[in-house]
Amino acid sequence: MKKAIIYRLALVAMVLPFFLTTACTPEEPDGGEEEITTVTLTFTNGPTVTWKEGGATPTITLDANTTYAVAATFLNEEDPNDVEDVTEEIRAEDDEHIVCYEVTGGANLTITRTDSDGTYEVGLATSWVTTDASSGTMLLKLRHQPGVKDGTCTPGDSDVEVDFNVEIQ
Amino acid sequence: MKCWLIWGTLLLTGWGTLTAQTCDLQLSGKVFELEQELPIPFAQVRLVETDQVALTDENGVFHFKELCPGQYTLVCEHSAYARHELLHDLEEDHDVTINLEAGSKNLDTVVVLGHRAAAEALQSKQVLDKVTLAETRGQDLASAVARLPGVSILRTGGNIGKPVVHGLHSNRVVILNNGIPLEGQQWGSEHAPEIDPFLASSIALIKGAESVRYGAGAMGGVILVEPRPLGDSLQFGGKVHLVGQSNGRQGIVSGQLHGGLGKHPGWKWRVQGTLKKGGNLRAPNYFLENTGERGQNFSGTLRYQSWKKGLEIFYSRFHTRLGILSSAHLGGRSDLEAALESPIPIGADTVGFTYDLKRPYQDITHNLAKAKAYWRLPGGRLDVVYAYQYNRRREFDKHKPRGRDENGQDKAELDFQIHTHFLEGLWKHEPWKGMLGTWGVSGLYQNNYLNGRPFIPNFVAFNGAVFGSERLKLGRWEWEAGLRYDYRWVHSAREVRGQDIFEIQDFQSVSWNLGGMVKVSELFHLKAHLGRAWRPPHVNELFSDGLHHGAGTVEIGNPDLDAEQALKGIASLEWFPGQNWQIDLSTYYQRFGNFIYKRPDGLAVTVRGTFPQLTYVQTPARLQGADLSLRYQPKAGLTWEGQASWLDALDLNNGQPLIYMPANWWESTLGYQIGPKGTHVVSYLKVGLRQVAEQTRVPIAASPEEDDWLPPPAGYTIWHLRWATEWELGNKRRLEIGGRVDNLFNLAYRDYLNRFRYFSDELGRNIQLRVSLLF
Repeated sequence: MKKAIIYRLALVAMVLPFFLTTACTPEEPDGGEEEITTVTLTFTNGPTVTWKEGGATPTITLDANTTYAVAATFLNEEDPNDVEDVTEEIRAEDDEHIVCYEVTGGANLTITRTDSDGTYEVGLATSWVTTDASSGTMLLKLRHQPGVKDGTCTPGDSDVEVDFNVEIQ
Repeated sequence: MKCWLIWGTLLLTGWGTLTAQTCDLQLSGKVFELEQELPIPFAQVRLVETDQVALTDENGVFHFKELCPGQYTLVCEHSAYARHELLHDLEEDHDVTINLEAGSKNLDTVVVLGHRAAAEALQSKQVLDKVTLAETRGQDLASAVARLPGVSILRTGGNIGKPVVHGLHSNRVVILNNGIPLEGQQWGSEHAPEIDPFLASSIALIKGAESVRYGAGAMGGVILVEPRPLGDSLQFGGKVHLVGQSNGRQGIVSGQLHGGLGKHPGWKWRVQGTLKKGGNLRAPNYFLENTGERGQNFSGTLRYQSWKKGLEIFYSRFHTRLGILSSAHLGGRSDLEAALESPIPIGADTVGFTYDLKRPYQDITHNLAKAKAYWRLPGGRLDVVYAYQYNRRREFDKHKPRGRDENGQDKAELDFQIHTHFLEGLWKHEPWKGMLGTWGVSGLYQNNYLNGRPFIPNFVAFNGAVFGSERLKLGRWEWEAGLRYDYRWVHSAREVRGQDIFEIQDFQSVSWNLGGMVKVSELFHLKAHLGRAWRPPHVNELFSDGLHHGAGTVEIGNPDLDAEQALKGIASLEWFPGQNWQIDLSTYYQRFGNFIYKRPDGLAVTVRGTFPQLTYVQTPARLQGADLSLRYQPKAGLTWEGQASWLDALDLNNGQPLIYMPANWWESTLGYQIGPKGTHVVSYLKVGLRQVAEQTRVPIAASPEEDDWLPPPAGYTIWHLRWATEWELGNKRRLEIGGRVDNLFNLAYRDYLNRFRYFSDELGRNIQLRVSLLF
């Protein structure tokens, strides 16, 4: 008799985890890590050009033989009601980040980073110098380089890697 | 609350219940007249312990089925011959030969010949023999199974492998871990099975569609990983294995202990564990950065067994941490282009050996708790199994995520947790009008939760099934038929652009199979099996949406996918043309409706860069092929073995071959063996080669962006050596020392089925040494 009770109890103990871990509704998605969805380049005395996920490749139209001061901003617009400015976070961790600008395709454009994390450049602020009229593309990369930043674009991973068309008139 | 209802019903029908069992063994044999070796019909054979009686047929053959492992006393009697008694330890299916002496009153020594018979005789089932299993100690499960024809390996680098059976893998192959279908994140092609191969004393493969018994996933095949049965005859003892491998400077220690519970007959226990540590692996010309691994596995079993009832409780915990080749962890398109152009993995020239593991890596824990019970009731036996599995898979990207707090360093970018409850009730009825059969109900509940970068949705899923199969023996013919009904209900939750989307889907289908076998003669058996299977699309196929850094691809699901249907026919023959020849040949044809696969589909522009995109598509398809296994023994001690696999997979929509299908291969091994003599049991040396053809059956892409990133690599031939020597040390102790050399000539080659073939060569020479002590 006693044995039978122990047996039943053992069975109940084994079924218990089942009841403890079952539900009919899945957990709400947790949204994951913060993604950047939008990259904006703001030109002092010039255009403001925005790259948006899902949109066409934007075109930056600049004047020939001109120097521009440019600020890059990164937004998370995944939830339109809760837009986040990720630029602040990047600035707070500027020793782990670098923004790289690669001009290709024959555009007569030189871009230099004008800000610093104390040791290396960061690239949220840049200076763009154009010469003769031309066109090409510019690849913007936000490289995340925790512990491996060396002032170049090689180490780390790309948090952002987006193309812009460039027209110099 | 619909799923509660479903569960409630199932629990009510199965209450009392929890568990099931492996009293599936067969003891059969032949009774001969000693002097002239003529079969003796109508001899009575009795199993004393179970009080079962069988009469030999006109060929002198008798069978006992559904026996539990243990010690049995066989008594053989015939009025014209002397009575015979024989003690036998039954641990696996056995054939016994009994010789009776006419009229004599003396007891004779009885010859016992061990011969393993297939448990599912009508399916094309292959078992890794003991020697082969021992040779694969220290390798992963995929490498062990891939010793069987019809199997290839889908690899991700050198340390992650999944078995591919007749061109199918992942969600289409069921892996049974000690009788329980392994449930983790098996959809992922870089998610290796979470099983400690040291747990297995037997690894077997069923190549036909076995969906009637094992459910939707079994359309490609079933891999059975079984520990040694805890037989009644098992005394206190154990095993210790030490394995060292030169490549990765890997060391493994594995051990197990088993025994009984003193004065409590019927109770047996076992504990088992494995520790593993390896460093950077090496291709012939360079080290592979960050490819070490760690593993800690443990399992324990307690069982009670009697003729009337039995109970088994099993728990296993598997943990591994696998380094991922750093240079295969890609950013955008420019990274991929650079990696494809570089003849060696980028930066490999500066990589040395280290045991250190860095990001990127995977960290996986799998827990399995199982209870099985059986009761013998009038008319048959009731088995009940309950199993709970908890799998946690964490994937760490190369660099810690941006914007995390200081603890972020250890936070995984992908963190999957899945809980699975499995409950099954089986009724095996006694012979009824010549038929033996099994009927059952099973239920499965899963709760999946993903933390981190959105990749697949969270979901709750329920699967319920009823099934039954019957077998009938008519003379030389044996028939089998089975039927199953499945219902699957999936409630998923995913986030799209900041919005949570909850969705309920359900699927249902009928599976069936038919099988037949004819023994044309004792030396020539023919089998045929036809099975219809189905598989509902998995959530990754429906809703995947995101970046897979480990593969450097963006994977996009398709919410409109329908369930897959498959019909698989397999015909095989076993033929012993002469004393020293054995031929196994099987051919198969599988026709799919709605075959789901992913294929390169242009480029995905994301904020993280432009990545090659893989999209899930669905098409009618057919897979056909053949496996051949030959064995020739020209003289005692000398053996030649050959194996070959051929597969042809076609997308029937466009007439193009299916992408990422295994290439044809064949393997040839010559071995010489001596022993036994005195305390020397056996020693052998084998030399062999494996030749894998170039995969020429690949689709021609409509545009370069839909093409594979690199064409299939050239075919290759790699050589291997294998040796072992085994000695009796007295007191039931045995020592086995063996080893292997893989890739003997250190050939640099790439394999079509390795997802890292775009970046690195396969592993270079590996010298393995192993020592096993059994006591």
